[in-house]
Amino acid sequence: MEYPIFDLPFFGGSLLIAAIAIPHVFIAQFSVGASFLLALAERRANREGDSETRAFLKTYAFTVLLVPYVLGAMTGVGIWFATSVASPRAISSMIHLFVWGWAAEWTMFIVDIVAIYLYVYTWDRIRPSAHNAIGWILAVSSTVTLVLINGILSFMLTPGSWEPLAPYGFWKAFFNPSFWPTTLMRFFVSLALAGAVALLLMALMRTVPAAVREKMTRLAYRMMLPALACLVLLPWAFSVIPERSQQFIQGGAIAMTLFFAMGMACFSLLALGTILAMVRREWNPSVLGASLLIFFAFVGYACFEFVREGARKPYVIEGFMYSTGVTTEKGQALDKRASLAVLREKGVLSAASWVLPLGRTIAELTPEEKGYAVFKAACLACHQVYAGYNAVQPLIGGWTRETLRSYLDTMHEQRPMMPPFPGTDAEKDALAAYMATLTRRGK
Amino acid sequence: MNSQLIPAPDMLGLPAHPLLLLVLLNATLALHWVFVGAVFGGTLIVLHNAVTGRGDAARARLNQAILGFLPFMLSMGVTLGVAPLLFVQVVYGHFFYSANVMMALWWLLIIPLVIGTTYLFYVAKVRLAAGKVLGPFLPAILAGILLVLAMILSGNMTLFQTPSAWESVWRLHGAGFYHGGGMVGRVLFALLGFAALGAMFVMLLGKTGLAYDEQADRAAVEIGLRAAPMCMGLQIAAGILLVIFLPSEQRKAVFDFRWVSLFSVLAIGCLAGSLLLFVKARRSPTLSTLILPMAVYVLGLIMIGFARDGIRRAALAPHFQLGELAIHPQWGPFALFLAMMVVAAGLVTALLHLARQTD
Repeated sequence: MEYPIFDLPFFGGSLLIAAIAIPHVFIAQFSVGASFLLALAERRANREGDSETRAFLKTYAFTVLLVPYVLGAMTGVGIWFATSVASPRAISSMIHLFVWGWAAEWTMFIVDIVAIYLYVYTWDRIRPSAHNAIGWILAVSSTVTLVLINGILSFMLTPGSWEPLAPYGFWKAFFNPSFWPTTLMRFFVSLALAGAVALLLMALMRTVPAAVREKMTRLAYRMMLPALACLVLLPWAFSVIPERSQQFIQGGAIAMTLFFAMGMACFSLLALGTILAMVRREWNPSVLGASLLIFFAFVGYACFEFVREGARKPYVIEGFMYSTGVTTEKGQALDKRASLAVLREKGVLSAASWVLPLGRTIAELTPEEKGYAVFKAACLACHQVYAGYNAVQPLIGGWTRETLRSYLDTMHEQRPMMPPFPGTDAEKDALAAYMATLTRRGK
Repeated sequence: MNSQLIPAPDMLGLPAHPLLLLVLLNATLALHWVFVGAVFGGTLIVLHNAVTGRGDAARARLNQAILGFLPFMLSMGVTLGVAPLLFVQVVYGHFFYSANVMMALWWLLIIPLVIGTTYLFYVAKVRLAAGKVLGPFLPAILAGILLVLAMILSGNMTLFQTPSAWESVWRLHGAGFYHGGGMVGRVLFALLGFAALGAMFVMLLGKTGLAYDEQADRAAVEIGLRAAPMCMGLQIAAGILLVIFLPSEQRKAVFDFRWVSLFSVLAIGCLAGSLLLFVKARRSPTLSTLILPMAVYVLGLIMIGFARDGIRRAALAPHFQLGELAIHPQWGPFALFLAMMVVAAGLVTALLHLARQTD
């Protein structure tokens, strides 16, 4: 809407963002937990004069903190690049609402970068207590970044009492209903990720002395245990998301339900594996066991991120902007060009000049061209045409033009994930005609 | 062009007066340039040493020292780039996003290129640390990637202020690359400045004793003092040519004897002043005689930022005026940002203090 639409064949914009965002979130949150693990373990090693544990921590710091951290930082910028291409109107509103929050987070990024490089490169070069202090600063600053970004992200699903341009809008948006449970969950999961990776590293480094192995394994398990609190936090978070989203997860949208169940299963296995290992006093983790724990953590996390993204549908910002970039009644007074009310009156193509073939006007288009232009403006944000992400052709196999036309009138009532059609009746006719050609091509 | 193609500014308006946002944009942009400049210029010096300094142990150690810092400098450069990216989106988002989509493939290519560059720096660093010879191949590849990055970013920034070119670039549906509107001149101007910044960075390494030993330190100062003024001289010349060949409405803005003219003059003045101070410092290059021209140069970068922004506004003037944007100040969140900035500055100072606490 309003902007040119980048059509990434097969994947679409949503999968592009997911492909960058999921590894980024995983790495970024792991880094938060890893900085705590390092700071805690180093403090104890310093107190006990344990040089062997310090040697292990040095390896941990370089191989599993610094190297992925850099990747995390770069992919973090990458998410912005991808969202600006795939969903410019949504990122624009998020930036305009939260610019100072993001700027505040940026200041902590700088602390993170300086701290992480100093932490890694001053091992054994400065006083151990000073080195440990650097570790604690890193742990605190990276946690602050997690808190700040989570306030911004959780707003998108649960804006709470936020109203555009109303007083204290930033704070209402930031401390939204799901802020606390999701922040705590993310923090505990970050500790668990760091613990799981520490186990894998120990399993891989067979030369680590037994005493160090036991100490670090115990600590890794302890880091993973707080994730059990998610069993309480998750229902809390669930209770504050919109009723529609709750229904998706409870069977209303099969993919959502499956991913949610898979996420729960992965985290349960992670918790179960940790408790079992602690009960059996397994201080010598195997590569397979540790890899499985990381696998469960990653898959579980990816599932919950998928659910979080999907549960927002049909909105990109709950109650304010649909995933197509069209604003709802909430933004109607502010958005003179692409609110649902305006588009229903003037037509979706009135605000989407970029979807027209260059140099042509709406009046010059053939009916099929017009239908395709409407498809690009109203559907392409979430649907590919023939194959790939949410491809529309397989979904409408066998539908007649009349069925399609009548579906466009009520699609948001029949399928709560779909936004209402943002255009005039003539545009609905054109879109139905175009989509009918797809069903014929599919035969 | 069809004015309907230009999206409306964001409905939520500006969270502060545009002047404050532009000050923050240009101040943080200058910081970003300092670090990415050090990376690009530092890489060129590594390449220069690898080509002309074969068998010279001091130059090999200097390369090791430079490469030791480049991954950090690149991480800082990328991180510092987040803030100007934020502020440019707030003020010019509707133009900026349009350009991003039009050059989408190139724009997205930046991510793997930056990640690849970071890890290639580590490869080069590890090679040298292991006592292996670093030939010109790897530094040349790195310099090449950085050049491509500069071209993509400049192309994007030039495209967003040139709506008249949008339709022709969009013919390739996201794969188009824009090189008109003075983009080549902009890249040349920027890269010469980055080369100068790299030379200053290497000089600093030498003067603070971070280049391993006395010989390497001396080589660092020598190369830096030779390269920095030369690059600045060329940058001033490129800047003058850039202005001469700007599209006419933008060139007029430079000579309108108002703000853009003032910032342009101040920018050239700072660059020329820094150049002269470096030439003077050649006689007795102490840390204090080198810091002053460096500071003047950084001030010049801020002036370049403001002049560049004025030129951008002149280019966008037929379609957009800053005064049209609604302002809905968010003072509370702004105070949060300021407070966090103070805390961050304190923490970075504490970190640097802690890092000096040897036994």
